[in-house]
Amino acid sequence: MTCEDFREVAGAYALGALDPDERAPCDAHLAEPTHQGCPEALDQARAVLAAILSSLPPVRPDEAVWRAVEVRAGIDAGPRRPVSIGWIGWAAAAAASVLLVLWQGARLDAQRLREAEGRLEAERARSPERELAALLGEPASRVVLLSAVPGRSGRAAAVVNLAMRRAVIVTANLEDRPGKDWQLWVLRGTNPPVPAGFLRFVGAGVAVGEVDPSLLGAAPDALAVSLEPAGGSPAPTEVHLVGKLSG
Amino acid sequence: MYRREMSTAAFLALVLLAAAALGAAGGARALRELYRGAGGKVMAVALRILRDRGDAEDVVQEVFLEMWRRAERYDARRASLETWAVVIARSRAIDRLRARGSATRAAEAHAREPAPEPPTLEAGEALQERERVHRALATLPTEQREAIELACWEGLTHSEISARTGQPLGTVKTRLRLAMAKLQDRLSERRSAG
Repeated sequence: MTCEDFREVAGAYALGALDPDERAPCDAHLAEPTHQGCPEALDQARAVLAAILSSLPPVRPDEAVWRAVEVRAGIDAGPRRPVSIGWIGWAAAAAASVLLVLWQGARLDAQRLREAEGRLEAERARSPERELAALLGEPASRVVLLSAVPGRSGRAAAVVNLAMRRAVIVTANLEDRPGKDWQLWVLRGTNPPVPAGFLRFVGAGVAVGEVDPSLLGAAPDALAVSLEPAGGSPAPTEVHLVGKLSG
Repeated sequence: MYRREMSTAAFLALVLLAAAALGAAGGARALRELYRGAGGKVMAVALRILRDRGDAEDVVQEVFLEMWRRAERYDARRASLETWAVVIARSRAIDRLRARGSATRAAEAHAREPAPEPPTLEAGEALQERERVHRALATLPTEQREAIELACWEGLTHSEISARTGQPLGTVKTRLRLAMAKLQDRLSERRSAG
């Protein structure tokens, strides 16, 4: 199958309308390393399908449906079991560390084992993703949207818990730009913005960053995200997103 | 090309779902946000395919449980969260439809239309988008629109559409290809213009 052949049937492929004997060569073709427009053609066909599916007017399911989802998901049963996910590097590292600790445990005394576990916990605790996860479970936490300033695009959300002096920003539509960093800022009144940390791309298009807790002693008026040269700047040069906490 | 900016609700659901994938207790909040934002669309797709409210609600459950349990599969670069949800809904609903058997499916397709929809809380932008897609579909020749609908809403393959409609297989393939190409062009044009 050539790329031209595939592009001809990309629509049917996206719809699932190919018969098995038609689909198999397409699957094999897509597995090839180089293409002339095949992934793009497939994305466009999938977008058409998504547009059709999304064009139906919403229909509200019965209230009992959500309750059933809650029960089956075990939402009321307390914290969810952690999921191992490929795009979070620390998860694999943490799992490997646990195995290593366990393997070495036979030869370590209890004190050394506790120390190793403590280091692992500390490592986990420093992860911004972990902070976001923990914050979401706190009843006093709230979510603040950061919107694009005029002329910019993108959006972010901040999970904020001022009582805990925690604010974690997450976004799924900013680009990871080489030689640049997305820097976080705390804004208060007419004072100059204060550098507050950086976003870190954790995979799957998602970036996360924690606002420096020492800057959250007094409630900020707003949080902002700017694009800066690698390593950051003392003052924002290219602000993209701002979200008000007050008012 | 057609990717839309996510709605606020869907965006919040995304970021919260990302956290849910990390094993957070707060993931419950994510699922609720997601359900509020996309539950109606998921139900609409399932109901359109299955034409049975009870079965459709079972699919809604399956969709949200799958998203909850497999959040790590979501890639924000490829599609919006709502799109992910409705695509899963279509797939699960078609699985059920196929389990009913082809004869039953054909009979049901002609016997019943989906129940009238109750008023919804659609935002103006969503309403415009829906009308835009409907207009694009309406411009297709009847036989092309039929091919698209049989593939989209009943999950029929080329040969199954041929058997259902009595048209030669090659004709069916051509109709489906032309229909998809036209929709792609028209949606793209209108999006660019809009």
